[in-house]
Amino acid sequence: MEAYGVEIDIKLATARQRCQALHAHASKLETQLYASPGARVVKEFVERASRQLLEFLDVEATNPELELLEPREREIRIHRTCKLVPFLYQVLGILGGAEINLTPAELVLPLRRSLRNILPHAEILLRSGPDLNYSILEIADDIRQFFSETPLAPVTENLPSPLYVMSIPLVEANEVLLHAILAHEAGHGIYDDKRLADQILPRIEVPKEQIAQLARTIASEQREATEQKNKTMTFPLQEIALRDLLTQVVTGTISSWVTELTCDVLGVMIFGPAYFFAFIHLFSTLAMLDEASQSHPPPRLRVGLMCSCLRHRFSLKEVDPRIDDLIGKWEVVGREDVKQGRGEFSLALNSVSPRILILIEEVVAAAVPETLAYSSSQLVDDVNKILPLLKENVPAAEVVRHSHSGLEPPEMPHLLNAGWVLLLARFQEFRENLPAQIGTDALASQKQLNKLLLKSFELAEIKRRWTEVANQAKG
Amino acid sequence: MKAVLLSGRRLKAALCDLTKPIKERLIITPLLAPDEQVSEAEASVDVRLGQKFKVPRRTKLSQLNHLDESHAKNIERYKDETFVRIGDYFVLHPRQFVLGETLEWVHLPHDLSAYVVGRSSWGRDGLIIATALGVHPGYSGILTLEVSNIGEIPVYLWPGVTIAQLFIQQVVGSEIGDSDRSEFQGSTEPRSADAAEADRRIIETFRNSPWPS
Repeated sequence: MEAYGVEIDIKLATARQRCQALHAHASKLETQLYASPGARVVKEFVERASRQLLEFLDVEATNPELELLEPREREIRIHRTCKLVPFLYQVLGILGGAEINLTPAELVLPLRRSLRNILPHAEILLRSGPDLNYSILEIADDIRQFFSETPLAPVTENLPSPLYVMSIPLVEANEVLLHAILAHEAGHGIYDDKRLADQILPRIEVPKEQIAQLARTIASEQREATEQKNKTMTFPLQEIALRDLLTQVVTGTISSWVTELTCDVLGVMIFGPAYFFAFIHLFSTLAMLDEASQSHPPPRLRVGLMCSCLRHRFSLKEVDPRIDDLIGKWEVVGREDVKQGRGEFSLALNSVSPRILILIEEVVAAAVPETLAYSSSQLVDDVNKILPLLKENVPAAEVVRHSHSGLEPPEMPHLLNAGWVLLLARFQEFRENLPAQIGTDALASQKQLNKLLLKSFELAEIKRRWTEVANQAKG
Repeated sequence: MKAVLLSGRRLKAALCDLTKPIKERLIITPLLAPDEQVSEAEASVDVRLGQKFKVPRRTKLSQLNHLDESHAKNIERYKDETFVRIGDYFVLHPRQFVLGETLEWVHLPHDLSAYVVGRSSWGRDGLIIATALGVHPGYSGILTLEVSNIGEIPVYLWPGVTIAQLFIQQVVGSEIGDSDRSEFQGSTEPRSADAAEADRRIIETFRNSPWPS
């Protein structure tokens, strides 16, 4: 019993020390510059939470009423709150890589604007990391959940929801065109927020008979192996247990695949062909086209679905015959049958039938209002108005959209699509126009194109924001 | 060649003329408040302070010796880049020097050149912005501003404020194809330069044989 008393005192003292250190560290970050508004939200939350936690622990240490509790009960009570300290450390760690010089700061506000067009309350935190991977994580819900069982739950009330942490590879931070892949990551946010899974997953038939057949085959193989060796083999799984396990694996795989496929279609809907081009640049290992995993469907299936979506939504011939031709070649790749892999993946593949792929397109079309989707006419307009500026080495901060209005700043998907069409179809003209000082080799030219696009993002966002603020000031 | 300074009215007309091919247009973009930045009564365009700064890292830089080729080439590495969003500020302390940029991208056709002059209102507070920075015909890029505080009091630099004026002049006698060949062409951020690149070899020769044989 006495040991509990000592344990509680040590736990309290350690938690208070750590809390003080955490609060001091969070306060020090005041001088740090971050690219995303979400970073300030996270920093202020950790500061607020650690301060309140410290106050709570101070009260707890001197609360005479707690003496009435059994030491064991008191220890559990303290632990319930102390466990927040390592959690808050983790949350603060998210800020690493979000500093303004480690992220393309020019990209943050246009990206946030694009996302907020569809999810008006979304807040983002863009960070770069050492992994060669793009990812998105909604953290507000997790934080609320974690705090919900503690006396500090009210501290989470001011957190914006959803709060997305988007990670991009550090080494590719300035490769703007590749960041079109973030449309897929934003798609994950939309998929969860609009509960698209509820509209798709119930319509998929789990192949129960085929699962049973597979379970029977595996069980029979195991039985035979046991009979042959008879000594060292473990007892084979019962067929019924195997069937349950396989059902779980297959449904899990289907669910993950549908999520990814839907986010691909969402990516095409909100960012147009730019998302597809970024996708094929990042996943262009042809040898891996049929490789699936439990979390991701075979790229060939994704390519096929995106090409179909592009054909339905965009008049690519009107954009540029070379783009039309390129999509045509990928269509051929996407149309080929996926080579069947492991048993459970084959079953998942059969369940995600052409009917389901059509359903995904329909569900996405209904979820994203036409006014917010990137359209075929916009693509043609962007190629006619933005691309010529970029081609002459001028950032597209303002373009004439309609004959009756003045110069308007283009938004993120418009710039990305014009940039991709320039890179894929008219890059030679761009290179020829570049001053020799920049370097005329392909790599230097591509670097200049990325810089021009970043500048376009920066200047267009300033122009848009300036106009908004000026209008607000006018009342 | 002789040059003719463009009036505010001519500047406005040139900036609004979208009929010419892009290469032959005068482009200053974005103009956040066009009527205020290009006044018909004046003969210049007001340009604003941009969001990027480059600050020399004193603790890593022992000297600036432009005859040392490797040092001159590495000069860019000894500068910290800082991005300050509009609405935030950068404090320039007395005797501190920083490279800034114009917010606007400037694109000059082959028959126009420009020079940049810091606004006198800043100068009176001790802030020196560039010194007769010439921009050659055919230049396209942001303009790097050399900003120093020679006053006694720290000065807040707010991106988005008008900081300099651009005087634009017509160059008579130039031809299409004549274009700026400076190393700053196409700049998207403030840039240092290898100041002695053109003269390094000859000065080096002088150094090695100071007396004529």
